[in-house]
Amino acid sequence: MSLLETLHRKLEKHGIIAQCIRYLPVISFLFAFIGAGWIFFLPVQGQYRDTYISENALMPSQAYNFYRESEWNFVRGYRSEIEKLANASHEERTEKLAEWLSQTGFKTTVQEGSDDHLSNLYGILHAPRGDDTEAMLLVAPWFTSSGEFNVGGVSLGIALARFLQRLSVWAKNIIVVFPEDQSSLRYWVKGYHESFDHTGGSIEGAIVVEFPSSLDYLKYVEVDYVGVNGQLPNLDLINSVVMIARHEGFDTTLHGMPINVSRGYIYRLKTLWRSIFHLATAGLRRARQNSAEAFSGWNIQAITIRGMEFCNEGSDITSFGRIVEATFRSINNLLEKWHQSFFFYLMLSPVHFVSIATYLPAAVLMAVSFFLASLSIIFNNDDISFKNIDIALPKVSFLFASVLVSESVIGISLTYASDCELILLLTFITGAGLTIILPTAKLPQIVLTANERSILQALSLFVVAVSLLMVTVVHFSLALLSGIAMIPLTFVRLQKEHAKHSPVVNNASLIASSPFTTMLILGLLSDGWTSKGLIWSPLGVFQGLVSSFDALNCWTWAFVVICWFTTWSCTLLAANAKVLPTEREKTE
Amino acid sequence: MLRNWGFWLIVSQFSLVFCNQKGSFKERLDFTPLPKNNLLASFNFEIKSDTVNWYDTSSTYSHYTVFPKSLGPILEDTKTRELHLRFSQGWWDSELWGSLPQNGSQSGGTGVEVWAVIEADNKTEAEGEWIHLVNSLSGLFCASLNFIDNVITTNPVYSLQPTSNFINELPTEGDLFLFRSALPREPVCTENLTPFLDLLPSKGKNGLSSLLNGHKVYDSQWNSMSIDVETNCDDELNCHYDLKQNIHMIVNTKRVLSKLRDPLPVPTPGNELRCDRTKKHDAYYCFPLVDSTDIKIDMREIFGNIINGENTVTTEKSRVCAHTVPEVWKVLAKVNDYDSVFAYSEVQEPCYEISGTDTLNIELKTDRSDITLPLKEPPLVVSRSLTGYSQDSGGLRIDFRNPSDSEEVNFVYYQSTPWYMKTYLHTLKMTLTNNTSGESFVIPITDRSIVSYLPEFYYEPMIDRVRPSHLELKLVLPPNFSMRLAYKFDKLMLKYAEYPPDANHGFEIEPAIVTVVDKFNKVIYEARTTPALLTLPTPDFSMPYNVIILTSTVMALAFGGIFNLIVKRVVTEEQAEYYYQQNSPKLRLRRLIARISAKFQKKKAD
Repeated sequence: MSLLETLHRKLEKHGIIAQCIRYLPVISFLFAFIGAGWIFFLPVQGQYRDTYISENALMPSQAYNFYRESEWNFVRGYRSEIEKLANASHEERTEKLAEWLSQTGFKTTVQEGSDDHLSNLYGILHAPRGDDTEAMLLVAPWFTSSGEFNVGGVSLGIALARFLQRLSVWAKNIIVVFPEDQSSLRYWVKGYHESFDHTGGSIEGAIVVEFPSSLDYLKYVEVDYVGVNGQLPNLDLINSVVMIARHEGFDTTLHGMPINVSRGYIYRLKTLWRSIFHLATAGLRRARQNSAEAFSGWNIQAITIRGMEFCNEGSDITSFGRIVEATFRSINNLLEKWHQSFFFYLMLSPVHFVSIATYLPAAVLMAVSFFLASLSIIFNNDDISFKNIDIALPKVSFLFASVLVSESVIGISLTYASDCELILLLTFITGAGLTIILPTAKLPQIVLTANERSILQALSLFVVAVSLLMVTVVHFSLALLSGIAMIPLTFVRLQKEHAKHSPVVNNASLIASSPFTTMLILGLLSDGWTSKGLIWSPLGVFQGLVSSFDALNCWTWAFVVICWFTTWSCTLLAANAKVLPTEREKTE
Repeated sequence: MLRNWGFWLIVSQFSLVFCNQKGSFKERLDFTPLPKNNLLASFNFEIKSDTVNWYDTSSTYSHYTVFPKSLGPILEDTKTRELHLRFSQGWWDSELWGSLPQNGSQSGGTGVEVWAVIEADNKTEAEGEWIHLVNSLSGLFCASLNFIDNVITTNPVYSLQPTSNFINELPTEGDLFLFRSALPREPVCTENLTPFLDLLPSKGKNGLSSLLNGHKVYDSQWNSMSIDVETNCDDELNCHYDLKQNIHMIVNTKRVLSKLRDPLPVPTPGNELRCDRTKKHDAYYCFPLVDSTDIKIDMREIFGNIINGENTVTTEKSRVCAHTVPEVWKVLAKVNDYDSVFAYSEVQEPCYEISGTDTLNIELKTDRSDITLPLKEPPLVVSRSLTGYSQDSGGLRIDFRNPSDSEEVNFVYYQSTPWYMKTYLHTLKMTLTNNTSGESFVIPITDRSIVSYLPEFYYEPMIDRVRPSHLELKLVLPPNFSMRLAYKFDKLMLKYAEYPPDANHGFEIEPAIVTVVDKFNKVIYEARTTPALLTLPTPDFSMPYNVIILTSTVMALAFGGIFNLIVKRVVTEEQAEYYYQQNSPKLRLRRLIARISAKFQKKKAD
């Protein structure tokens, strides 16, 4: 205590606190800089950890796998029939497969389609002597996430189903699903938990197989695991799959990283940024939906394994199938729940991860930076006298609340129109246009005193800080990336002291920090948003944001509207409102 | 005259003695082939005790002949008049196997289930006897029945009503109480079979019970073991226990045979592949065909044993019967390993009686195993599942389907759910759907028109940590209709010590019971749903440790501050600064040097 006392007295004596307050803008930026820089520090040796199996009962790759030899003939046999179905209608394919599946001993049911979704075929193998309360899921979509015909995957799915029912080790039910694509899968998962007559208990783990080729061999396996709203499958599942794949002789990658590169700092950094990026934009890519996203929200551990680089030699499709067999045996071993502490992580490579305690400071620093910027406006400001805060607050709060409400209404009504491309296009063009025009325009209709203006700006920044802090724990990546995108908001200086501050900087900052600018950049710099051309890509981002709100229960859109767009609009109002001269200025 | 009187006296005395019945023991085994190469094996043992009289305490003489001595005293001590025990495993596939054996009256839900009728003066006494009973049974059957307490016990009102006839025959001294409880988590295994066999007079040594081997019984697709004790009376003086022990099991014959050939599921050798000739097939391609319908299987393969001679205490010959389509199924009896065909196409239900000390093996053989006796369709199909999206609340959905086109089904749905599932019965919604047209309509429980489908119900809400919620619905399902009941519940928080040990995958909700009754309220079919797995929000149990550390840290900090306040002098900042100036290390050093140099100077001066 006395140490703190001494310190405090020293600070007082040298006026460091006053100094700090003066330099708050710089300190704020410094915090943001360190926050973003923190990510570059994580891939340094010593900051990350090697993956390990936390739940001992999983015992991946401990048992001998039998999916081999003549089972390959069945895969080929099914495949030669499925190849013929490539151009058949969905109903025809489903009917054929349903016939084969029921022959294998699975209780086969077809989920009826609706206006928006096609029907889904699924089969349940009730484990002999099992208590029928838990299930493992094998999913083989007809079309992969990138839209290719999943001929190998479906063949493997049906052949594996036939094989798995021969084993007598199962304590959990096995369910196989053949959805048309990823959105059908979501429809199936929803139906499973709401309306199905035939169910097999709570789903403990799900594996989606993608093998869009008629060839027999493959080079390596890509693992996809990202779920919406920052939800990730238990790390133990990824670790098991990666470990099993290695035992079967496969190299694994994550997030589309190439295979034959040295896995040093740069590799880890790249994977890390990609994983953050994919997590933050999960659910928004309409043209490349990840199957694991379909399971988010129901506490199901889901993972996609994708065969890569099909060829004519090397490891074959049954080795790929053995990954499923062995993973199912691991999940089957699970007598308890997945370990609690293994749900928050970032991957640096298939075998390296950082845990939440190590990466969380990055987003916290980012949020603190906004908080400091907000404080700086209050303290370094002659417009604000503390006496006037309570006079100005009701009006400012009302202004803020009305912006929030009106934008939320627009945001929610847009989700109902998410199918209508024209409305979305018009909204997007309007939004993007206003983003560019408004910062430079003047808004004489809005009249504020200098005091109110500053408080409105401070309040906006404060709301950003609080929202970021709230989102950080559940959805780190979104908090970090949106924080980075919103940093220019802190560069907007409106007060008299900053008269020298160029208005160009203010305008540029406002344009840069608008969510529409981010959508434009996202759309132009990365792909997968839409199946149309690059020009449509930014609209694809917008459409993804709006439609995922209903389709995947993804709340990124709500975050963008409530936290980001509202605060941005309020800052804009503060910057462009007509300002009444203060009492002092009048007298002068 | 006198002589005549004497004669009648003797006769009546004799008849009294003869009325004092002797116990008896019967056994029977039935095989029923089912589609897709499945086989139902049903063991049935019936034991009748000697006459018992509980109210006459003057007679100290009691003798157990064939009735198990381990069970008798427990029943008498706890005044149990009827006892039912079920040990079951697996999921009954009614699509493939039809209705349950014996109309479900002998099959339980997954895990262990027990219900009993106890005679006592009041409910408190009866509860005491019930706990006493399950604790005694726990030791007897090596099952966790001792974990049964009031928190998971209910008193069924419409379901599981007593079947003994003594209630009508005998004026009981006390009142009768029905208790029921279930342990869905209980893994049923061989150590439950051994005490089951020990109850039999043959003790598993000979007769049909010599076939029962734990490894084989529990390797079946589905199995259910039941023990039922009833008290039946011929008149007021002659009451006896009827003990029925049953084991029903479904065996997949192909799986049994392939496991015998190779215990590991190795891939089929290339030359044994069964491929579809109409599709592409060569050394690399094979489109699989369904399993062959050729079957030849005998008892040694199914049970690992053969019948080890006749049981000498049986009052009737032990019988082994096969229920097959005689045109395609051949049933052979091999006495002392010599073949003797006992059933070709002549007899519909061929039975074989065991005699003497000869061993007996039965063989079933066919080349058309897909032809079996027509399945008996269950009068009602039921399934239950948990619904809901989040961690703090959920829902339960029960689906009933009436497969009949012409007859409506009257049934009772019984369900007991643990106290940490806080049921909201007002959210109960009934959806009725026409099976053919698909039309459906919803009736909430608050609607009066529900009475035509739900004429009566009994509900006892749960009390935290005291009793479960107990729901019994009398329902009517019109022909060709499906009914869906759905309601919501909240998941309650548990105290940390109430969570089961670490290795658990959630909380099992015990199976619900469906009892189908006819017009005269007679039970015609009984079925159980599967258990459900409820996941409650579970804390990370390393948390208490973190809390301890955090609390200790805060306490240490507070202690430091308070200690400082107590022992230190409070001065103004100026005083403190002055003091610091006076006592700063620099000054002290200077003073020290000054003192030393002063000494030196003094010496010099000297």
